[in-house]
Amino acid sequence: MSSNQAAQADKKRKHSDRTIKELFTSQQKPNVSGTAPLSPSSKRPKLGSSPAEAPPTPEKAMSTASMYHFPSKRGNAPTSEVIDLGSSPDNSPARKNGVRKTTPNMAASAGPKKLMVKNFRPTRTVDPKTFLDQTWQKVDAALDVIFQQGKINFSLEELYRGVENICRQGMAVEAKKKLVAKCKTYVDGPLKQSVEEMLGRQNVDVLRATLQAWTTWNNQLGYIDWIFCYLDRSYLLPKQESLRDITVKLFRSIIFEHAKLNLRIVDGACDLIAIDRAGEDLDREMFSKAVAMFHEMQVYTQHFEPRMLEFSQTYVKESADKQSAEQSLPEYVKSAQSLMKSEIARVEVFRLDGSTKRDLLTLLEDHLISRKQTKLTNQDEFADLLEDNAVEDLERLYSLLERRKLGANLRPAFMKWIEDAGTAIVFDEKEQDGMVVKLLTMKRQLDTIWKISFHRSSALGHALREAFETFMNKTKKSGATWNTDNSKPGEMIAKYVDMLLRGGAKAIPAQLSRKTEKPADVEAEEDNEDVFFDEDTEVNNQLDQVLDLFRFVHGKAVFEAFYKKDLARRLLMSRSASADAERSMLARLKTECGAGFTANLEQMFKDIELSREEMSSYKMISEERNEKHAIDLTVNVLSASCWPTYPTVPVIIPRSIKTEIDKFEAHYKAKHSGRKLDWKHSLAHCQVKAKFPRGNKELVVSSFQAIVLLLFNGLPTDEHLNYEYLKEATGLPPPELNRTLQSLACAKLRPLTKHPKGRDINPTDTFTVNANFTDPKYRIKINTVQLKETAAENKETHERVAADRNYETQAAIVRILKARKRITHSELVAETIKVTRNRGTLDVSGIKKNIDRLIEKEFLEREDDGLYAYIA
Amino acid sequence: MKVTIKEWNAVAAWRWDMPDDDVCGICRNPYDSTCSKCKYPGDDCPLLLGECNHSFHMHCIFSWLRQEAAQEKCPMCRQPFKSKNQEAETQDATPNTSPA
Repeated sequence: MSSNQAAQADKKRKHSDRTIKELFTSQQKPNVSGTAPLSPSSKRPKLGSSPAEAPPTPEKAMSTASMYHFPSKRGNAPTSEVIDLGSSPDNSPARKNGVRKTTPNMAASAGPKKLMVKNFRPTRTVDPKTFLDQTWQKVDAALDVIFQQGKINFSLEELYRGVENICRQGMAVEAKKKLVAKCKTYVDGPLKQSVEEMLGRQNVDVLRATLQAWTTWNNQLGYIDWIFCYLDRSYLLPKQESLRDITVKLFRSIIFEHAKLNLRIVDGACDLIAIDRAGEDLDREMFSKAVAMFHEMQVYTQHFEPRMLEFSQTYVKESADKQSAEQSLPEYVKSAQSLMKSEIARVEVFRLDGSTKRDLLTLLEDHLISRKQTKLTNQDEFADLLEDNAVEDLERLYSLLERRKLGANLRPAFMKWIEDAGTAIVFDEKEQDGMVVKLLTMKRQLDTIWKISFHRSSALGHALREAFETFMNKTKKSGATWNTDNSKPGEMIAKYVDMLLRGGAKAIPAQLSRKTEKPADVEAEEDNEDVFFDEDTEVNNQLDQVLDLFRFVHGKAVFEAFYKKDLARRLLMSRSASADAERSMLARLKTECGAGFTANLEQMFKDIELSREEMSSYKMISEERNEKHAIDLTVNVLSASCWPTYPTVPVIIPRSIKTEIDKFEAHYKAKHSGRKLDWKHSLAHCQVKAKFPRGNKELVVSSFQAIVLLLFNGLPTDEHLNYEYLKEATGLPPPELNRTLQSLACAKLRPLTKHPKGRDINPTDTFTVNANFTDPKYRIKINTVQLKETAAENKETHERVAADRNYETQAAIVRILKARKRITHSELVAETIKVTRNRGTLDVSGIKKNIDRLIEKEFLEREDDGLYAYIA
Repeated sequence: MKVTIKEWNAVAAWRWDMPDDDVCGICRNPYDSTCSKCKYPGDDCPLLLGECNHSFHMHCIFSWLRQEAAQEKCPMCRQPFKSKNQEAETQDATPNTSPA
């Protein structure tokens, strides 16, 4: 009973005796049940089954036993009536085991029988020593024949028996000793000599000789194995030895590990690899034999592998150094890859060890990648690849680096290139118009490179975006932005979007159109597999891409200003290609920048919608009143605050139009009291019917153009109107008049002729109707002047955005101070930059100026300890 | 040559019919701008013209009239403030907004 149980019993005893008894009984019970399977009752069936199986066993046992010509004492006499004790001595220890095992003790059933022994001879009296010598002589002779590779003209069986008998006589030890000694002399002698003869020659020859010797030795071992099988099995096996081990060890210790030979042999194998590396023909059979030999001798990991790796290392190091010095980056990557591939292929073809493969790979990677990292992530050559858009080369480079998880090390070079290339595009003042297209092309190329070459590595993806963000937000006061530090990309993106929305799918530049790109980059664009694109999807796609760029821009104010201006123009001139596209763009901007950003833009759409309703109700009313309208009038009424500000240009409106406009204004005022209308005639456009000497045309012109054209009504073709007269009659200020006249007399389509001819309008010029005006089309648009943004407008927009930014900055500063009450200068500047980032930040000196301005206006004050405090 | 105008697409911007430099007597913002609470001017933040010919941003005058001390008087001339009826009817945004 365990102490545990005793303790338990002790515990129980405190309560009562009975419980102890109970405890014991309850403890015994499980014991009983535990031993149950061992009880006689359950043993019985086991026993019962054995007699049934037993009868065949003795016979079987006898047949094995008979091989040893040995009768069992207790054994099954009835079956074997005659026993030949044979000639072999019977004191073999092995026999005992075998017989006893196979003799079950159930011969009781058989009755006593007489045992007859035939040919009985007393135990042989031959001295075992003499027997050994005799037998060994034969064996020795046979071995000599085998070693000399002579003809086997003796019975191997006989020899086997001899050896067996020697062993049975308990002289296995001597037999083994003799055999080993014999083998040793042979291996040390002739066999070694055959190899040593080659010492003067190449390593490979030494190896070849060794292999030759090895093969011979192996063949001879076959015989030895046969002859000494019994020795091997019965004597050596129990001692955890084997004949094969001993003989192989002999070869190894004498030939392979011979001081002179060892290196030569191993080097021979390594030389074979070197030959293969040099691109010459490799004796494949010989190499695989050598490898097999190393394996069999168990010297592979100990001798061959380290040596081979050592050689490989020097080779790989040299070739890596050489190639990295000589070759360009893509070539180097290619050769590095092919080197690794061929090395690994060799390992696999010859089934070298897994450990070799692993070590070799590590070695290769270490030398080809890790140590050559500076070469691989080299800024200049990497930049060249990016420049060439060499997707495949980059892919190879990245996979190579990624073997060592070094792919992310391309990051600095990658970012640097993007920044440089991007900055060059952004600040290329000559090709401002192509900026967005170039940026889009670049973005797409980089995206492809990222997807395919860089396997969508997240580190490099971040780098890509970061770099884009950096250069897109670089600002420089330049002529392009009228010396404001507005972001030019913001403006150009707005203009590009305008072009898309005006022109629809037709406006998509050829190099970005999916149709042209399709055949080239089918695989590249795996996520856009649709083959057919309708125009809307195409435009939407383009918008998405542009928006990708837009996302990088911090100063969204510039974009907003230009987008609004362009949108206004599109809406008022009804130049949108598709209302759906407009709306989807608006939705995109809303998700991108929030509702506050698009509130004004939405109001613009609403105004146009309202105006349309207003016009239809106005027309209905006039119809009811049976009023006749000489002119089909449409008015767009805008809420001034949501639209870009337009200057009111003074102009004398022709009487017929004036009356129509006045009628509408009266109607509007009656409907919406407390409101009045400011006419923006510079935005009006109209259709006119014109009878030219060479045919009737319908012209779509701006209001100013129409007013000028009306002045030429009914004039003979040779009557000149001079500039001064036109100026008085139209009431236009000179810049507007100049623009209008230029568009009518100096553009591609010229309904007027200027005298004298020339590009620029001078106050001394006169104008006549162009009698030869003609055009294949009936309806002609000549109001492009109105659509185009003038330099002055552009400048004005930029300056306004810049000025607005000052106000926004001031507002931000006040908000910050309201929240913080007191704040240090540097903190305030940092906070301000953070807050205004989305709309566009001022530089630090600009922020400082605005702080000063606010101090002047007494919004804040400087305190003694250098803090700013808010003045409530 | 003979030119006739067939179709004229005019553009006009509407604004409150007030003198340009006048401001709301309560918030001191221009009439064309918003009251101090609104973000977007225009229909969302209309004007209200009283019988006394003083006009304010609707939101401004309402919050004034809601105060006890105001006694529903025009803050400018202390006459009881009533919006001009005919206008209250025609202005879609403020038909029933006259404080009674």
